[in-house]
Amino acid sequence: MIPHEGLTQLIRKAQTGDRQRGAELLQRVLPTLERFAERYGDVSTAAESASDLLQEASWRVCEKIGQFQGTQDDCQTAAMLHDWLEQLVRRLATNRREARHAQKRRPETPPIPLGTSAGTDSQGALIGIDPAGTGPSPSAVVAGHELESRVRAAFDSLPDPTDRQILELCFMHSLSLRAVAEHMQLSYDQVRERYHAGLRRLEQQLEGLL
Amino acid sequence: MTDSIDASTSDDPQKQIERLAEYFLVELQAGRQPDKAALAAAHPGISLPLQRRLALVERLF
Repeated sequence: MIPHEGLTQLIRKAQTGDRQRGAELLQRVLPTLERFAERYGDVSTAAESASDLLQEASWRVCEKIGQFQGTQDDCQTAAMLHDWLEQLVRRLATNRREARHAQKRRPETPPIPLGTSAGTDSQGALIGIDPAGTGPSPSAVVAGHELESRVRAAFDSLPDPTDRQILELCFMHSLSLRAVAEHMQLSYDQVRERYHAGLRRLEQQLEGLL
Repeated sequence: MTDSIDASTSDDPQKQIERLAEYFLVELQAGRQPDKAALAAAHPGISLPLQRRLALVERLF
């Protein structure tokens, strides 16, 4: 069960963008997330799947915590958060499974080239190409997602798990290099060196995107 | 902002970039919004690689 002392207040602070409290909250729910990741991870890919799922779930908790609604009561909020996290991990696991097994779809009719002039549908009604919207273009949205997944893939492909953990603690848990060194029982210089080595590697992999 | 970090004590450009990137992360973690363009402009000799590193740190954060 998630430790419930002061949980409501902690969540509220995290929801207002307090990164320190957000990191504390994530630290508090991590054991619960780990259990769910093991439970819902794809058994066919075993440990790797659970670890990936846990990492993605941690990202999502940070992104979505603003949507969580608890109560004034810490105990009740802990129970609700527990269910919310389980739902989040289960949904992620389902999405990952579906994505792995998804087949490319082909339209039944060929796509209409953008240069095609408007015509009529089977009822004789005029059809045409919609005017451009004012929001971000679909290609910009896709590019944003593309960049996000490239960054995540580069992060996941860091060969040394210790380097990966150091970067995770710095960026996802907002810990300073000194705090990371204490947490991992490494010297400050070791952490600093590995931190920069990890960044250099990511930079090489993301060349042209930054 | 750039007054609070002195990376010029090191002649090694890579070390300068690392020190400035560390400073940049500390600022982000403290909830401030450091100006990466100003930081890069204040270090013309390493401006481009520094901008790339800061952009990466910002992206990961």
